[in-house]
Amino acid sequence: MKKKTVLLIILSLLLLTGHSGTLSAAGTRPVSAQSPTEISFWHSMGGVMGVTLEGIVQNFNDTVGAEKGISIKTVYQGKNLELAKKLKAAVQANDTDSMPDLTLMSSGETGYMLNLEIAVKAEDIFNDNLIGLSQDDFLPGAVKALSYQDKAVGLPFAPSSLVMYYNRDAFIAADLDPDTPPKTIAELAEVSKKLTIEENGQISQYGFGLVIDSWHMASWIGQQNHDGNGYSLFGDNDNGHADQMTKVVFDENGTMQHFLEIYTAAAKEGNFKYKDDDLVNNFIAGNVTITLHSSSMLPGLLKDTAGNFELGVAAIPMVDENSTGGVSFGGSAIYPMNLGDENNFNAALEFLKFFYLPEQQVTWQAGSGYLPAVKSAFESEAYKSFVAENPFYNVAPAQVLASNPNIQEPMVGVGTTILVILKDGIAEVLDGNMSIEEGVAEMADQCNIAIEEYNDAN
Amino acid sequence: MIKRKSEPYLYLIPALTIVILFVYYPFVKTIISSFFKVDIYGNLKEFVAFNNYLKLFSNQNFYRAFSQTLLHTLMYVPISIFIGLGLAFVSNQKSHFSRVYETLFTLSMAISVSIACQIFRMIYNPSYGLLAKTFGINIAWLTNKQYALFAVTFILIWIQIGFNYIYLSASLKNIPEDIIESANIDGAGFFRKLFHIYIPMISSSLFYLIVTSIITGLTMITPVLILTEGGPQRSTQTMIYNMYVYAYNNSNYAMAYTYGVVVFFLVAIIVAINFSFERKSVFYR
Amino acid sequence: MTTQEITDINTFILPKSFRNWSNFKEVFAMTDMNRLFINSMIVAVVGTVGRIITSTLAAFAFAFFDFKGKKFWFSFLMGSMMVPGDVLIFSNYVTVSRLGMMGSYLGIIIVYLVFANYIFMLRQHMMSLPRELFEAAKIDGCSNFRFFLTTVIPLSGSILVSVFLSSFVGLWNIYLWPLLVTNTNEMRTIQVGISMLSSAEQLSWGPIMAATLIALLPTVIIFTISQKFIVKGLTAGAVKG
Repeated sequence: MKKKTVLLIILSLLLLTGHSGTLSAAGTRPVSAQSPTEISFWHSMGGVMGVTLEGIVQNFNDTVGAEKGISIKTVYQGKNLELAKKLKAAVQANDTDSMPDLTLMSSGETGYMLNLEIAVKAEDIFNDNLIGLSQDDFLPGAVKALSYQDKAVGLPFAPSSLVMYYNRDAFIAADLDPDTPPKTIAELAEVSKKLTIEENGQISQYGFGLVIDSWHMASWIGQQNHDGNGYSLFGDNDNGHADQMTKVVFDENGTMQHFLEIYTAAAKEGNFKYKDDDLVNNFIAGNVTITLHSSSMLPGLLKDTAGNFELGVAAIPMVDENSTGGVSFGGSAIYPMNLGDENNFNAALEFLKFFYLPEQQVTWQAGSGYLPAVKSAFESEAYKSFVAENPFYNVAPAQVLASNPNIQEPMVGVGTTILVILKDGIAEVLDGNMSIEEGVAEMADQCNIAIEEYNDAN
Repeated sequence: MIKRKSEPYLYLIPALTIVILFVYYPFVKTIISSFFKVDIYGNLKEFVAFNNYLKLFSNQNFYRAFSQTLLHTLMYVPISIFIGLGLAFVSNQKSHFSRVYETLFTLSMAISVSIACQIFRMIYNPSYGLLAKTFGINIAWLTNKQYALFAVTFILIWIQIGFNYIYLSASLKNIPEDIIESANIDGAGFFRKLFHIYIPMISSSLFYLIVTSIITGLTMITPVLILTEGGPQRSTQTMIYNMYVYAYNNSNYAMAYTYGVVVFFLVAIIVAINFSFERKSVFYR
Repeated sequence: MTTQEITDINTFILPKSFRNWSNFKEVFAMTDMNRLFINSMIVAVVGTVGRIITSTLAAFAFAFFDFKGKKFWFSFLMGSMMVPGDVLIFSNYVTVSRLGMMGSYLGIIIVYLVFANYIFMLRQHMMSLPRELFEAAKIDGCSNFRFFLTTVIPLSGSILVSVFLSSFVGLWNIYLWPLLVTNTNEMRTIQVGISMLSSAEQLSWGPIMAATLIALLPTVIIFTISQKFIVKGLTAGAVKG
């Protein structure tokens, strides 16, 4: 037994040294000009999205890359939060060897990226004409979602918006027309009521199900037209895009109050399922027949509902008839990194030029459900023939193209905390534990405390 | 006991080197940083003395997280040890305890906390979960603020039982048979044997379990992170979870460091109290 | 198994489409599972052996020696369990990067080489070993280290198996740290592979569950084997004091 242990130790030591040796050799960048420029691309796309992205990169390597001597290596770095941790750790260690030439970053990290010198900002890319595109070529709302201090920071990589998903079969079974889904929350309540099925005093099929948090509220607050601007703000300083947000304004401008008045009545009338209970899977299983989710869910939902029921996709219901129906943008940005090697930096730019071509944009949309980020993609033949065959994929684009770009999620360092505050607060109001007035005041107070604490620390 | 000056230190060198390099060196940096303002890039800004601590102690949420963490630990430690000990006693009566049961009880050892959480997410689900569908218990375990913390604690108890069982049954089997036999001859009942033989004889194992479980209990985070994100209505926020949110979600490193230091000293005090009882109540052969 | 089947409790226990292995095929198509599997195996085994070496030695010192500062050093090591790991990550990244260990197995393993829990566990065990053995060994002129190797270690068999099992499971499941200190797909561990199969906004439960099963397999196998040893070691090898 002792011999075996010793053997094991020797073996493992061999493995350790052997592998670390070969790896550090592989990690160094090629210096010779003749050899292809190999650059790294960090992403956070798992599942089908990851496969689609790898496909686009492979396509680049085989065509433009092969021509220009560029080879891109994608590296999955975990989900958004882990990718951010990873980059932050490398930045703190000043470990340029471990940094990527191209990286994705979620919109919540825009403030961090703004002051990170090595990250090349969108505004500079536009001004210096580095990829042959200007700010006007992109969807304005998507650019705005990634700008800070009125400067375009991130290039939109994976824009998405909320859409409404519904079960067409259940609509037919309830004598509802699946081609005219509800357009307002009031209509949603009526439809939801008709879709509710009770068995032995328990609801076995819910009409509408949704756990509301700040992500949904960004759209439902933003689309209210309370002062005639065509949009409303969630927080001050233009939702934190002009400057650091100092407080929320959804209480002062009355939008939260107005929304909750309509929504609590609707939730009661339509038996809304508003507590989290794995709504997406319940939707797939047919236990919930209408829900809201990101447009990026579309490919997955189409696959998972196939054979079970026919999926319907529509614009999200408006707060009331006076709303604009606009939605906010979500999704991550892509940053080329200037690590000091011009070849690598130019190679990263080459990929961006390739990625924003209409064909790649449509490939990306079809595989991921994210929206094309450049306007030209929507006018391309590739897009038109794609949505002609797959009309569902046109719902989110039509919705965002008609939206006011000022309808935005709050950009603030404590976004996750605010998300939780709204989620809890709205649930308390729906539960009847708090009046609407109390709920609005409580949510605003807590958000402001969190924002103040953050601003104070940074 | 051996008395030689340098030899024991040689045995400690490997462990101490690693611990100093990868725990205490960064932790001392953490303690120092907790007296500063820290920007989002992790750079120290201005010295603020105890300001971060004052902020933490004046924050309502800290006390809430502290009491919830304590409540979790108060359930987790005794229940997991009690059940583990009970199973160990049952299996010690060799006759009717098959390997199958033994494997079933201890299988949780092979499962990581995150996988266990995924399994329990399905079990707890009020619409298609095992508890709802099979037993008709229609409770939103993870989304009702009355139950969520218990639901989370239960998962960790379930995971810990396997180890506690196997570890305690190892200790029970190590008790010399002649001691038990002589007690039997004296006509001692089960409870007398329990308190006068079994418990003292396995006290060193129990002590180990109590101390380590207290530490894991007080630093609990994983299921909260995976299943509840501190909710609903903050009812499952623990101290380490709040620290995590400060560090990663809000990039408020100063507060995260402060939290980390406070948690360390709170746990250390509680563990030190335990160790003060070691000499009195733990019996080493 | 499709998502519908997973949400349907009747098939939860015995999913039909598990039999056609499509999910497993998808897993192997999407990730280099073999390589990830080997990586995780190396990390878990080497890390565990390292932990066993550091903790048996330390426990031996605490259980059998009397020395200056014994209490302090024991508390010092125990204290390392109470430091919240999340505040150490960035600093340790810097350290590992300065030591030139980025992207290597050593870089992943080194921070895990000591787990004070095991030192404590082994100390408790060694303290309950009969003192007479030690006296006897001394009379035989046995050196302390030889006594450690020839008597203490063999008598700690079942405890060491417990340590091995618990440490293996722990290291097999680490996720964030290996992700941070490696930069190539070839160096990733199996847990990263599982995360790669899912995206935040899309569900494909089937492949995730298949990958989870693959990832679970070694721990269950090692568990079943070592569990036998623990029981055997207890009944046969135990020294009745």
